[in-house]
Amino acid sequence: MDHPMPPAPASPTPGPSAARAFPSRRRGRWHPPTTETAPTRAVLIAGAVLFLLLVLLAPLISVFAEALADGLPGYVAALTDPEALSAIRLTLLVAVLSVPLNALFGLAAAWAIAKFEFPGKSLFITVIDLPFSISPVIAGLVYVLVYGAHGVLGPFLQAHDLQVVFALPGIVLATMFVTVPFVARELIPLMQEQGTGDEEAALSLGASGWQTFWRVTLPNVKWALLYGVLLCNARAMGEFGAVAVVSGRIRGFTNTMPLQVEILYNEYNTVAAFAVASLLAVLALATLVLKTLLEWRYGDALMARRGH
Amino acid sequence: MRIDIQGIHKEFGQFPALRGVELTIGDGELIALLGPSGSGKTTLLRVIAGLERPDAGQILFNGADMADTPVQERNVGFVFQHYALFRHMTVEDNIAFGLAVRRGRQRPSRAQRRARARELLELVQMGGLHHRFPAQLSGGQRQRVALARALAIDPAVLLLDEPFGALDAKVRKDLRRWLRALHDETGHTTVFVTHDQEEALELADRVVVMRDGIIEQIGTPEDLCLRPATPFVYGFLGDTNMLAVLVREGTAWLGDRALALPPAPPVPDGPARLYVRPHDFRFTDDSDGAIPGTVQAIRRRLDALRIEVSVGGHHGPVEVALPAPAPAPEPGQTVWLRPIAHGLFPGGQGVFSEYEA
Ligand SMILES: Nc1ncnc2c1ncn2[C@@H]1O[C@H](COP(=O)(O)OP(=O)(O)O)[C@@H](O)[C@H]1O
Ligand SMILES: [Mg+2]
Repeated sequence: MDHPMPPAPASPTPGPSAARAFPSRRRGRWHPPTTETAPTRAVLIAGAVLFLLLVLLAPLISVFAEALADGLPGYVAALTDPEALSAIRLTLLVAVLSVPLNALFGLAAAWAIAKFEFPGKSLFITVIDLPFSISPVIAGLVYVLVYGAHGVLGPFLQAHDLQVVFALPGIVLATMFVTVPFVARELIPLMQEQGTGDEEAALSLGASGWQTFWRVTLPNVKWALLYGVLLCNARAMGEFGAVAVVSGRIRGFTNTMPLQVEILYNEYNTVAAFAVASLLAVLALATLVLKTLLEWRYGDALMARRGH
Repeated sequence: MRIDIQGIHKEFGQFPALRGVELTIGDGELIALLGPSGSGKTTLLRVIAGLERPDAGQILFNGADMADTPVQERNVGFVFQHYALFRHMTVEDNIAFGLAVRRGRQRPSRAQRRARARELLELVQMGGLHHRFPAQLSGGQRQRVALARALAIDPAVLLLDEPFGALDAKVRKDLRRWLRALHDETGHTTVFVTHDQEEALELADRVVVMRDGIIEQIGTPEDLCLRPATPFVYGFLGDTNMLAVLVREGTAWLGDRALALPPAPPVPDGPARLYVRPHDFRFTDDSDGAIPGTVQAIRRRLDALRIEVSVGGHHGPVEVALPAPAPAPEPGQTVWLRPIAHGLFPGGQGVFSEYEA
């Protein structure tokens, strides 16, 4: 060959002192380019922590502090008040009705969007997001306008003795409206990412449509579905605006927990108001813990990802 | 099982993915669908399986029209390009899936299903890994689980879409040999898709070369290598040189030289394309009917020398392969080239330019 390889350099392996042989004037001041300097970092972190304390943690603690201001007996008395109990029952009932319905709808919508092509698909996706961009109060008003006594369907409903507005059906409808996107939004990107490959495999192995859905499609999205249901439930129990408009706020009958809190607070019944509020806070904390647990344990199954 | 594919057309929107595909696959045959990406291989496989409905044409299984038979009832074992293993099931449950979803008396007991799954795992050389999840397997192992899952339903035909596409070269080679052995053992009618010519030639009884939704050639690996039927096949299977020639009274003329070519089917008078593989050129001292050229460069390959010879006209340099120990000419030297095998196709230049050397 014309250009023989140069012989391997007979260099001794560089010892620990070798690094010091090079001048390292800037060594102390060097930091990775994507990292801020220590003072900058301290200021940023302190700012974030302060913000969290003021905006999130302090109010949360004060909820419990106010609720227990008259001691435990006062707290228990406030929660066992018939009106409070009625509000709790109603809230649970609304959640039990609206969350499964929304889960079903979200699953069906995500399935249709991810697995099929149909005209108007992008419009459909946009409409699912509508509740995110509409003020809940407007949503409530729309239901009053449609289903109320003077609404479009009012005469028909009255003729058949059906009460929608200022009753349970209206509250459930309004709650469903504001929580529609939660499940669908979790499932659509995941199911789109997963595509139809698994379903085709199941079908080619002889599975029927139902078998494919129960044994393949649903298990593939179960954690994302649970995640969406969790968020949906938290919002359903905490919804104020839309429900306030359609419920009519009949004490002991159509007051949900958030509405009850507001009424008690306006009556300067602080302990009772915060006692009920503390239940909502506990719900929020439980949701947060479960959500974190899901994200930690099944993070990869929640998010769209390649292959297996 | 014998499969007849008759006049299959398939369009996606306005785009024709298959344009009149005719093919008969014999019982127990191992067939490769070979072609560049986008040539319609996957679509044809999916049409056979019933995952895609053709716009025209018929698929017959043992003579019976499958038009109204859904994929569930066609009894095909389909191995998907990305395996499509059920990620929430163990390897064993994946393999037993096709048995578990059967209804009524068709459905084997749990113990029978497990036994069958274990048996198949042994067959694909993965005994002991039945409790793993797909995410805990290597690519080659997933591939074999996908195959075992497809075999579990005792398919009448096995369809594999780029079965080794996602694997590295060494694993590919091993699995390829193994699939051939498995086929010889089980005797399933098998169709597999590949864009790797070496894989198709090594594995298949017959190879179907596809381009743009049509079949270019069907033949044994021997046929394809020695008798490429079209310029496309010449270019797609291995290296080739293309020279624009003029045919007059049965003789091919390169510029002002009449070429002496080995006997071949006659070609009508007019412009034509002469295909010669690099290793089908010989240097000769006898200038009569040979192609004159000047050596431009010599390149070393593992198994041969590649010699670039400029032949004048508006052709690029012609590549000639010389077995390594042969005495090589020097750059600048004038040489005479004689083809010992060639393909001569009527028509002008530039039709298949992307596959031409
Ligand atoms: N579902 C589909 N929708 C639209 N076009 C498709 C679809 N499937 C395949 N095609 C098109 O049909 C052609 C053939 O595709 P395919 O059969 O997948 O090719 P190959 O498997 O040979 O790479 C490609 O051009 C591809 O873009
Ligand atoms: Mg393909």
